[in-house]
Amino acid sequence: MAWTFKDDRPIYSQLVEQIKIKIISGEWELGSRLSSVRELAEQAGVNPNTMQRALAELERDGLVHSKRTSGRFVTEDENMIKNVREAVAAENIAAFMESMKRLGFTESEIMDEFKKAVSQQTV
Amino acid sequence: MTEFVLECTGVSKKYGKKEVLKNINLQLERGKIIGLLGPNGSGKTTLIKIINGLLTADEGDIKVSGEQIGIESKKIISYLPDRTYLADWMKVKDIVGMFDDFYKDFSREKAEDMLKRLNINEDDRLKTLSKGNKEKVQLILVMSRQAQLYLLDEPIGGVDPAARDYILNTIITNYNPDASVVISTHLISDVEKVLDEAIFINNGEIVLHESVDDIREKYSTSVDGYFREVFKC
Amino acid sequence: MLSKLLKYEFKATSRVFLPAYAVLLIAGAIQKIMLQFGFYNKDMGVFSKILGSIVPSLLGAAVVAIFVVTLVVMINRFRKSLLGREGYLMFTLPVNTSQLILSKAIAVLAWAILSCIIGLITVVILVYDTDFVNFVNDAIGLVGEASRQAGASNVVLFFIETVLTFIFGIVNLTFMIYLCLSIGQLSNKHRGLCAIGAFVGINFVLRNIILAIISNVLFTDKFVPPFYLCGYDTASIVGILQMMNAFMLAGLVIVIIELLIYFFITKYILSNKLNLE
Repeated sequence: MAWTFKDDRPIYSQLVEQIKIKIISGEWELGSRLSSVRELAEQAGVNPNTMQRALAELERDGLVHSKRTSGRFVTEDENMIKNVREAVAAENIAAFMESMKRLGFTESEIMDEFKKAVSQQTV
Repeated sequence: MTEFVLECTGVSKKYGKKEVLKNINLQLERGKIIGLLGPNGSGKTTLIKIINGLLTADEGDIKVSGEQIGIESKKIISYLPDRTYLADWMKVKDIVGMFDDFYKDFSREKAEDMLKRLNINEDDRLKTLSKGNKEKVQLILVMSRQAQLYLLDEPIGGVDPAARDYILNTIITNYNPDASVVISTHLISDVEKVLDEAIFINNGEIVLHESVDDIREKYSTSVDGYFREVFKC
Repeated sequence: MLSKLLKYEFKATSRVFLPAYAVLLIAGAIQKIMLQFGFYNKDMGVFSKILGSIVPSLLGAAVVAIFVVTLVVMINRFRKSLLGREGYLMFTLPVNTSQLILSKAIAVLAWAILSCIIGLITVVILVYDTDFVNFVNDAIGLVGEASRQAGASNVVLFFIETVLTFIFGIVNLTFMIYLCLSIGQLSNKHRGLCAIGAFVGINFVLRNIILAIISNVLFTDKFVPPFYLCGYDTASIVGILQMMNAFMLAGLVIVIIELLIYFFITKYILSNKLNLE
């Protein structure tokens, strides 16, 4: 998955978000070892200090932890990942609801539109 | 090691009556990638030339890792000018040998590895290389050194986007917490993701020196966007 | 560091000189062979006439060319490699300005000496026969005779001073040219013109000033010989030789003082007023 960045926010916070997604989606597996800061910075095309700052914040949040000499690892705490996943989902849903309401849909209309779309998808 | 890799105090330079640099005060920490950003004629290249000893300041003091400008500072500065500066008659391996000879911190293996990856043959004469390849050779020579201060003057100016990515990638992978890289450019949006700090310079004066993150948070815009605001014509 | 600079200086210049020397020596050898086998006497018709005029002309041209090439290299190596775009590399190397200047001057001097030696060898190749061997023996005898009459030390001194005059003369010319080029690079748009202007200024003005000062300070009867240029017995061979030695020494002093002045001004300009294109 390619790294994309917007202009108006610090890059490190965008890195935090994108790494969060990689973790909760399973792209970076539970307990797996992270590449080095330099390699990650290279992949994302960003400054290593910026990547370091992002990883430090993820460590504070507990999604990532470092073992003294062996590097950084994704957390093995499935529960935490589940919670983060649900939190991100809630944010996405809130944003979706917000944008639908701005188009004039009521909450039950939103439900109908949603069910329609889902059933069309599974066909 | 000194705390700052570069310290400029009260640096001024005049060309005839024209003041090209006015009372420049600057301190660069180690382990940072810093953008020296400003319009043409703002004094960027003059400042870089003074730091690497190609020009002498009229006033002020400059210390590179605590050293005055001279042989000792040249040993720890790796400079990439915005033009080709290599002797045409030399072969690629000759210039690699020359850098190996003069710079203790030069890594021949690193240079040869990068040349191979870019499909540049060591036995080719520099005269026969395309302009793009000549520039890549120069970049490889500069980045194969373990210097304390890298001064890159318009490193991505005349190259294609793929080469641009390669150059920025090389800068990232070369990162060293004891060294700092100064990238002087006007192509800000291309280099922004790679920068720690940005210095805005205009009419010989430093207008801004902040971290990229701070600029984005404070002004809700990229450095490129903020630059356009500050330097609106 | 100076030796490293010299290494690259020789690498850069040998590409020009070695082929030129090869041409000279080969042309000389061919000419000699043709003379030896009476090539020019046999009537091989058009072929011999053509070859007969090409090779000597080539030879003459090659001799002149070697000296022109030396002068051109002297100017160009300094101009291109230090004051042109290569200067961006040379002046950021961890070496000082003196080393940069000296590396080029020493290399040019070495080539100039080598050029003379090769030229001499070519001449010897051409004229070598029994007459020549006799001539050389006679010349050696003459030198021995002069030594007996005028004192061996004076004769030896004469030869040494001649060689030194040649060497320091070349160094003087080199540093003078470097100074002109350095003054020229101070200008942005008229580098060549300023260099030529500097050349005129130095040769017609500065040189005379230096000469006047030195003559009035050194070469007067306040000083003892060898700087005292009068009072030699010009009737005897010893006297003549001693006087010639004294004048050569005086000339050497002037040449050396000049070249030191040129060198230090050049060094100052390049260290403090560098103005690369």
